[in-house]
Amino acid sequence: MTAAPEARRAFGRGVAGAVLWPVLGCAVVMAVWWLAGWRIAANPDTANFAGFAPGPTLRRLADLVARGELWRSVGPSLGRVGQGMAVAAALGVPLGVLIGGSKALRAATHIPFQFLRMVSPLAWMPIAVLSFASWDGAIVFLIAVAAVWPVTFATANGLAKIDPNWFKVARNLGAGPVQTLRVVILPAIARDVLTGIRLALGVAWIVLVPAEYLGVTSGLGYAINDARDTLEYDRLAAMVLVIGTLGFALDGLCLGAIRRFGWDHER
Amino acid sequence: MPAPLLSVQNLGHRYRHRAELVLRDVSFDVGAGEAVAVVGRSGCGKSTLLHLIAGLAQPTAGTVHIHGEPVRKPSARWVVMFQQPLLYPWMTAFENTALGPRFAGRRREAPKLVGDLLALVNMADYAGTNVQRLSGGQQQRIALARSLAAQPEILMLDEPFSALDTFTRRALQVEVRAIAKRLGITLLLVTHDIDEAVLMADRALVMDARPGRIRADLAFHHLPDERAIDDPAVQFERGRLLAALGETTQAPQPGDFHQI
Repeated sequence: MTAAPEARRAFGRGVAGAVLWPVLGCAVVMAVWWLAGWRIAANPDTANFAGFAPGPTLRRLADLVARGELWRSVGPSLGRVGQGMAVAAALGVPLGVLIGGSKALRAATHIPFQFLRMVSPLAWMPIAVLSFASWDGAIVFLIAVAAVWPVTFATANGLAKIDPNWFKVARNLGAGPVQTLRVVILPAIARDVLTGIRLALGVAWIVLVPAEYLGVTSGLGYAINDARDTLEYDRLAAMVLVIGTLGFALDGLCLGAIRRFGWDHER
Repeated sequence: MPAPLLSVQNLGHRYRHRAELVLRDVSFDVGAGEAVAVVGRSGCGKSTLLHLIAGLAQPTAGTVHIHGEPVRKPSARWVVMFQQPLLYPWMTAFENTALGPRFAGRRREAPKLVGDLLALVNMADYAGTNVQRLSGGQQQRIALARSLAAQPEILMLDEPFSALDTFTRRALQVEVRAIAKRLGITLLLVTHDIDEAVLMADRALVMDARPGRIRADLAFHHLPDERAIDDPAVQFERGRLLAALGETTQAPQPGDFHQI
């Protein structure tokens, strides 16, 4: 007789966790935004910045979507982040496998890699501008520099965690080095690599906007800079909204991939 | 007299230079189709001996030959089944079992072979199940099927059932012996469990510790192929093995067996 009320309570807790609390959190942020916008508009000293308020921002966002301007900003940015992430993964995963598999290499690379990791990617801007013929190349380089470290360290960490007995079993069943890599190592570290890519994507997305202040005439960073110069604060706030939403969506995609390819959820 | 399938000669081992000797002067032969148990207390070097024989580690002294060829590295012709199942948790039971054929480039024959082996270990219904969802006993059955799928000549068992409950352990001990006999596979079993040795082996090598060496080589003459723990003949050989291990003061004599 107590099962039904308990089930109802459990369902209620599930709905609260999945829907109510997130909606409440977003509502609070919207309320703070609206209140701040109203205060800015009401104050004669700050009234010029009234475009930051939710109403003008959302109206401008709808206008950007309708005129196709939004995609002209989003497309190039996604392309640059995609290229930067591809370079970071292509370098970071093999590097992580090597570091994770060799104690000597781990010890040899620890200090230089930690040093390089701590240098802000934006500090490489002058070198990027000098080294690449195009602005696009420089931006992709900056994104890759920012993203390579999380991928490398997560991969190395994943490899170091592999049960050594799994290698013993593979050798015992006649696996060669390439088969061991494909059948044992890569599936075993998939979750760590994807977690590294998720962290790297977060960093890359943050680096993207200041990197696109460099010379280019497209992308979300350029659009924000341009909106600031032309005093279109509603456009600027709309772009900020788009950057946050896209970042959230990309993070969700990574999380989905982790759930899909990670194997410990089977337990 | 036919040449032995496995020949271990004067095997010695220490883990590091100048470290304590783990094994000293271990020598024995195993014939094709035989089931041999290496019995001794924990820490006497049994598992090390098995790893050296399998080529998973290199001995400090002595040689291991299989079919007259020196063993220098692991091979799917002699497969070790470990204390833990060590299945790959991202794979299904079928995928784990099919690894041997896959590594050997025999993917085409894998479905039939693996299907037959899963049926043999009573796990046919779990072929598509992720191995993390299986119990310890079921996982060990899959590990057995995986070892057999490599079609080894020698199956080496490193205390493979010690983590299982008594009922599952007994069932698997009897099943593994029966399967090995049916498929003509030579068994080399390492255990500290007297009952396991008597239930599964035709012969027991009793090991001393520090350093590990063979103290006695005991053939189980009185045992039938199919065995049960409460069989008087099994109990008789159990007594002999205990005596060889120094666990009883008086070894049973052949006449004692006929009086049971």
